Amino acid sequence: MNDMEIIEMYFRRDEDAIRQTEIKYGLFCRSLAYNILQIHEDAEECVNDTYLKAWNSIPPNEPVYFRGWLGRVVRNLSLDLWRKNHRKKRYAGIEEIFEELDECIPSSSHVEGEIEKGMLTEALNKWVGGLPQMDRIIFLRRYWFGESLKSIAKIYRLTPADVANRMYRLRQKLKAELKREGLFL
Amino acid sequence: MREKVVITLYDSFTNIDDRFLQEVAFQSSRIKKGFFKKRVLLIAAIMGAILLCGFAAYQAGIFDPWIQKTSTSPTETVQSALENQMKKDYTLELRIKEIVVDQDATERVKQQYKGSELAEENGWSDSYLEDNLIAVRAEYYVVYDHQKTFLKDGDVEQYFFLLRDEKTQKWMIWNNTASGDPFY
Repeated sequence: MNDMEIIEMYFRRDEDAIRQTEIKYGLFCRSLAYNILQIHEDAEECVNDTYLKAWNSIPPNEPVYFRGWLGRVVRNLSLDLWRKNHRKKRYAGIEEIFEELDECIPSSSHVEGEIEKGMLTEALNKWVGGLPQMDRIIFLRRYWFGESLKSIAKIYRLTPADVANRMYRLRQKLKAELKREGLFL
Repeated sequence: MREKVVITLYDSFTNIDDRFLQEVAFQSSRIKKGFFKKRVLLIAAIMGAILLCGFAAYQAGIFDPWIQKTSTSPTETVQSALENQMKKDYTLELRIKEIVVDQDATERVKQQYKGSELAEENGWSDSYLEDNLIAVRAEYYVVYDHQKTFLKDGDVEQYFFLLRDEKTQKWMIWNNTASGDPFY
C-alpha cells in the first residue's frame, strides 16, 4: 500500500490505517526509537504513541513525506522520553551521540538563553545540503537515524574506525560552520 | 547548560529537510535491492550450475531413463526400450539386430550382486536375485545427433540387467552397460 492510500485511510477515519502504518513503517519507527532509547519496552511505547499521534493529527495534517513525518514524531517522542528517564538517571541511551555532537560546539562557547532551534535547523539544512552525497548520507544515518558506527561501516564496507574518522572530520566541519554562522561563538 | 545546547543541536536535526531523509531512504532501498539482486544472481548461478551439470548428465545418459514397456518377456522389455529410443530427439536412426538373454552374463551379474551392499540397500535376498535377475544382450545400429548427445553410435552391443517383479512377473530394466561398452 502506498503512503497516499494510508493517509487517505486516516482521513476516512479507517482504523486499519494504523495497522497499515505498522506494516509499512513499524520496523523503521522501532529502530529509530531504539537507537535513541536503547530499551525495547520504551521504544515500543514511543512507537505506539507515534501511531496515536498520527491518528490524532491526520487530519488536519496531511504529510507530504509520510516516512519523514513519522520519523520526526518518533524522534521527538523518544527524545522526550529520554529526557524524562535521563533526569531519573535511568540509562545512558543516546548519550554516545550527544558526546559526539558536543564536539561541534566550541569549548569556549558562551551560550546565553535558549538557542533558536529554527535557526539551527536552517543552518544544518544549509550545511548538510552542501556536503558530498556520501558524507551527507552517513552523517544523517548517524545523527538523524541514530545508527551505530558499526552498522554504517557494515553497509558501506568500511571499518568502524574509518567511519569514526569520517564522522570526526564532519563534526569539525560542522563546528566551523556553526561558528561561522554565529550560532556558537 | 552545555548538555542542553547539545540536546538542542540534536533536536534541531529532527526537522531537517525531507529531501535529505528521502535521499537516505532511497539509498537504503538501493542497497537492499543490490543485496537482493546479488542473492538472486547467486541463486541463479547455482541453479545454472545445477542445470549445466544436469544437462551434462543428461547428455551422458545418466538421467535419461529408458522408456520401457515392462513385459513378462525380458527381451520384449528391452525391445520396447530400444524402440522408444527412436522417439528421443537425439536419435536419428536405430535398427535392432538382435536381442537375446545372455546366460553367461546372467550368471556373472548374479554373482556380482548377491551379498553385495547394493543388494542389501535394495533389500534383495540371494534367492530373489537367483530367480529374478537376468542379463539381456542387444545388438543394434544407431545414429545419434551429436549436437545433442555424446552417446556412442554405430554398431552397438549393450547389456541390460533386468529385475522381475515377483507379483506381476514383469521384467524391468534396472541397469545397463554404457552403449558399446563390453560387460566383463
